[in-house]
Amino acid sequence: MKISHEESLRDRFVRHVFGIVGPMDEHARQEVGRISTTILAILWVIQLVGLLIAMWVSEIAGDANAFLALTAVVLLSLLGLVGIYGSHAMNKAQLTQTETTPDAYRALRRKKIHQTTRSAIISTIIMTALNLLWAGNTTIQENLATLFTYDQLMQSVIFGVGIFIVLYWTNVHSIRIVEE
Amino acid sequence: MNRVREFRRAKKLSQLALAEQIGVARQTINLIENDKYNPSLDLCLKLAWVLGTDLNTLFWRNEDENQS
Repeated sequence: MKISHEESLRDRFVRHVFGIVGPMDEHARQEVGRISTTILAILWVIQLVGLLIAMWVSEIAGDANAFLALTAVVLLSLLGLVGIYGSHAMNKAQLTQTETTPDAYRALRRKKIHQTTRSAIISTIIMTALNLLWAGNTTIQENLATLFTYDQLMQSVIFGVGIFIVLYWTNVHSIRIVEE
Repeated sequence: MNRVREFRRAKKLSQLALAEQIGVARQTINLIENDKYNPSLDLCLKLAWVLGTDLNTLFWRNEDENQS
């Protein structure tokens, strides 16, 4: 009997978005479905309640800008909440854990640290480039001047360290040694 | 309790080796062996084929086991 292991494009996409390490099997699909449904419910309820509060506050304050500001707060908080819940639930379901044997642990850990460092550097470069783009500079000299300002350098360093810690936690800390 | 672990050991397969043969994660095999996940009929069939047995032998529960 031949068992097919081909992975569809959709499965590959979902696996990358949710950071699933192993194959996208039926258990992973079931867990992803359960987590997604909870996320949808959180989004639906909190967004509705948050926007109603924002409308009510802006009505009382008589300021239309208050609605926009509160909406931004609601959306950003939702994004954070959903991100934290999602990664916690995926970890709990053991879908993001990388498994290895005791012999292969050191080599895998080294590989993951290299990957994490590379990803953190690339993310920091992209974030800095976006900052420069939004600064509205027209010449290369202006961009270089903005790049080496104290604020910009501090922003890049803090972002780089922060993203490294997050990636280290998800990539390296999630390695599990399996005896069997 | 199903008999997946018993048959896997009899075949001298690790959880990972069995998982790779049927295209699932090792964690899924572990969950099935510990009765923490109910596999689909398709997956049960694959397990039975790879372990060289049938569904009844692998998964059938006695009446007293079913009630507990």
